[in-house]
Amino acid sequence: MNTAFEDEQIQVLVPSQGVTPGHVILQPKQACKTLEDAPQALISHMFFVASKVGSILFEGLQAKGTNIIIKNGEDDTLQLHIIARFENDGANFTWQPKQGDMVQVKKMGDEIKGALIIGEQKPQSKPIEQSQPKPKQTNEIDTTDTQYEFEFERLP
Amino acid sequence: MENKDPTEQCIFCKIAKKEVPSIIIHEDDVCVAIMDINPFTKGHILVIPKQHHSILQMMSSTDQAHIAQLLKYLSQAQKKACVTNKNTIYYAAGQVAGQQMPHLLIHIIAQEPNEISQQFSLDMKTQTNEQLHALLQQNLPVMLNPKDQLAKILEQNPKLTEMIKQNPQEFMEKVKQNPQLHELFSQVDIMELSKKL
Repeated sequence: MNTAFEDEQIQVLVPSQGVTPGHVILQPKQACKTLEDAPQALISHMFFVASKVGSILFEGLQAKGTNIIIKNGEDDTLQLHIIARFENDGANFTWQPKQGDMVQVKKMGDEIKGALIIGEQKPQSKPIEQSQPKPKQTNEIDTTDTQYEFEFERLP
Repeated sequence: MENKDPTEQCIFCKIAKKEVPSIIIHEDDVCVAIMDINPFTKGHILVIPKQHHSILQMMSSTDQAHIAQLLKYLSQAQKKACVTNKNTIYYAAGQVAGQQMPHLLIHIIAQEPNEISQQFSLDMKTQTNEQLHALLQQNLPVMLNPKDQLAKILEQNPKLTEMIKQNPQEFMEKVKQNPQLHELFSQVDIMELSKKL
């Protein structure tokens, strides 16, 4: 595994063997196992670099496509794979869509929506929220965990 | 009549505009996140930018950053709802890579806690292209730092450098007329640059 580029936040690695001849791995320098462990700025930097790596694969290696894959939680370190794709390159990540059970899909949607908290938790928000608890509603999904909602911070 | 606006026929543009119903779990100015109605596994999420772009590189870097950050929170929520510690973020650009529609999508696919994903197993057995390392090494620093990019262009184009040096006023006029130059020099004080050269 050779380092082709690095900055304060990430390393861009080229393995000696890949899924295809154009396989690049992006790895953060700070210890994070999953996307959830990584700070927002690091994640956006990783995708920014990934898109530039993608351009290099398209233009430099004449790739006909690219895949980005993050196996989020499977490895000890968060890694973003950018894989150049060519005709008949032997790789295949596609699947045959199967009709879903709409009741089940809707139920999962409600559960994910109920668990979705967008934004990094700001420490000062906690006491304020705790001192002014929302009135409990009978249809609230999650009553065990206290959830806080924060504004999603967009980069400038 | 031939329809030339690709967004009019695009199912994901219609979903983003709510012209086609979907199970939306998040929506903001940049994107919508919906449940895949043909899930690969339970809890399969699709993140769809509202603007019609076929690949990541066509999006603005601000929108890219926004979506990247959103993935973290959607992934967190999916793991909680699916009671797992694993999922896969998957994106395909180009038909050979498995892209089926010309509207970019990012999939978040949950896995069982103890499952090793077969679908996204990375079988790394192909010899890497020997040019790849050098291509990244040469191009990434320049692409990631616009100032370096400018320095490289000046180095490669002595005529351009000479013009900025000798006649910055005239060059500023040229910049106004040429979109490529305009983009490159939009953040540059040309008079200042002229003095430094």
